[in-house]
Amino acid sequence: MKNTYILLSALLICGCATTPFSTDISGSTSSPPIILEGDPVKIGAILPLSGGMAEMGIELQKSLIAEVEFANEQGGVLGDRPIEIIFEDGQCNAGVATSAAQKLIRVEKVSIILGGLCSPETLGAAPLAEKNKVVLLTSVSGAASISYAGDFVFRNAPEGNTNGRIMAEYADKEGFEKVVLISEISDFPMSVADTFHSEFSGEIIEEKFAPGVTDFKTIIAKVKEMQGDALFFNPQQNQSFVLFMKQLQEAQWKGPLMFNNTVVGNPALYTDIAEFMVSNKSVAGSYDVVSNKMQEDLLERFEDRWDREALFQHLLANQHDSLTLITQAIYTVQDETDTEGIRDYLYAVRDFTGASGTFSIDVDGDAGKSYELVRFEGKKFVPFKE
Amino acid sequence: MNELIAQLLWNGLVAGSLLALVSLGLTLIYGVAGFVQFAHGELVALGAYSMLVFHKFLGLSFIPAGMAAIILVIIFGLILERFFFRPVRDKNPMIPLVISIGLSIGLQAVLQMVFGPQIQTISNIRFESLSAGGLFLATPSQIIAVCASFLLTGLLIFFLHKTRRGRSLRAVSDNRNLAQIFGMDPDVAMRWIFGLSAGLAAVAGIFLGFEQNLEPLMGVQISVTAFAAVILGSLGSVRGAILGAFVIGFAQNLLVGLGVVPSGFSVAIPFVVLIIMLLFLPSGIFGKKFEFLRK
Repeated sequence: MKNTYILLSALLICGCATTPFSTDISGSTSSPPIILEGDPVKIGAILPLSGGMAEMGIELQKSLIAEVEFANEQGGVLGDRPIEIIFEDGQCNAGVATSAAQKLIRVEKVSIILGGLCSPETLGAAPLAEKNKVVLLTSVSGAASISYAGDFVFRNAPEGNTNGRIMAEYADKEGFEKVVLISEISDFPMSVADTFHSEFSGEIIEEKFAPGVTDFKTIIAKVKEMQGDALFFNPQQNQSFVLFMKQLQEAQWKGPLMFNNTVVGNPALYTDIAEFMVSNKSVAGSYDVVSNKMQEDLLERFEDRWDREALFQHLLANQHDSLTLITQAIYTVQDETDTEGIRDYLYAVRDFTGASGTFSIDVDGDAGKSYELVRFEGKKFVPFKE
Repeated sequence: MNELIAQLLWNGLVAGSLLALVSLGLTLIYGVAGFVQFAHGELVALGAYSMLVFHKFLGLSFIPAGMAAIILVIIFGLILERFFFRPVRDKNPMIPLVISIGLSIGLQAVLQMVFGPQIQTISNIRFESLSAGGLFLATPSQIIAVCASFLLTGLLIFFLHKTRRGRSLRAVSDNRNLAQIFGMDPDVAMRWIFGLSAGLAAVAGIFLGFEQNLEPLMGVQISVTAFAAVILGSLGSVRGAILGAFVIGFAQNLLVGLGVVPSGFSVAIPFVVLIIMLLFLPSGIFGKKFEFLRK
């Protein structure tokens, strides 16, 4: 009897521990049933499907599923071949993303990977992608070092250091003499902080916190004592933003607030703090807000597929353009395994117009996109007006 | 400066109070069952999510919702004891330890599947912070959490020392075989200990939910820190767990707040304390030996 219990316990644990991460939402999955007859063109995707950035990761996953379904309905690629996306959870962590890339390259034999979302994911996957000549294209990661991560590593998103620059320009323009900068210890916020340090002409008092920290009360008590002219909160994860703002509000903070772009795009993040954000003149550096027909169609497809409005719309637009670029590259070289051909195609992209606007890819593999200043009004961030 | 120190002391008290509730559960289980229950943090998370369901989704007011959440987590703790830990009670202590690690990962995944990965709040009502004589700010939930923690800790100590059932639990903890000879049932002791620790975890989870919102991995950090607190006080010691929790709570807040260590280092403080303890006072403040390390 006891042995039966032990066996049952072990089975249940194995079931619990493995099953949830292999499901549609949180793990390694394939896109829905394919109607085309040719062999699928496999594309890997590394996104944070669990952990503090999972909400954003899952939103991008859902969008990618909707986009691939649409592309396959339109006839797929290379004649009758459907696109198949194989998702892996990068957990916003370099080590996990390296394992994910390993699996995609060695087991799934993909030649192209979309992602990661967080910079540590992209930087974790980059060495393997480079070594195996697999094209890695991120639509979100902002760390400066991604520009030098390899010949096969591309970025269709603005660099984080430009986010630091735009915030420094804003702080100077507002006449702030002393800014308290609180950064999460992660690649993207560190890039933003480095540039803010070099570009801001006033005094910076810096505090840092490790990823996963949930108690900010001590840091807040400390920075209140410092009496800066403004507070620049520079997180990697949405979870850090929500917890920090809750505790900042409880500490009755009064003063201008500045943020990096990671906090922009999900109205649910501001539900309990909207009034507090408005009263403290909150601004953020965000992607250039573009609205065009292609973006409208993309968001409509998302809504049709998932029965609700899409979050993080600016990120979905970037990802849509990344997928479009990849399919165009495959179509041009007529072979998804010809990664050198795909790489050369991407380096040659000039004045590409997509859902996120018009851009070119430079010698570092960057789309050279930029940030613009947005301010918090009502219940969301809106483009800044002088 | 006085305001800063007062605020840091209050923050330390809040952190220590919540940590004490979690540490007590861990140390009780170790004391009686003889292993470290790694899924204890997930019971904390389950307490918070149960409160979310009863209060926000089912519309119960705070106190009935809290009571229902605590009862639910106690039942869940008893189920874990009955079906996962009792069958392996007399096996190598590594077996329940590995089972608890598996349960921890599995429960995190289940919480994420059921409630989604996004951050949730138990209540949309925002309580204004109260000022204590202009020295520091405290939220109503923090004040209740500190009071509840002191009350429950006191009741637990009273129960363990002044009641027949409590004394029998301590007897089983000291020497299970001898206690059995004197007619005490180890199965009953296990049930009591898992029920008590699950109840304490649920209370901690509810207050943690008010303090830091909810997300599926919310139990991980506090349980790891509680583990450090338990070792600091010495594994299996109730007084040690309480002392360890407050030492770590105050150390994290004062050392970072006063600039002794950089703020980015705050999560490492419990483990630095732990390493120092293991090097210089390996049996913990209250002196029990580390049997589990020697086995």
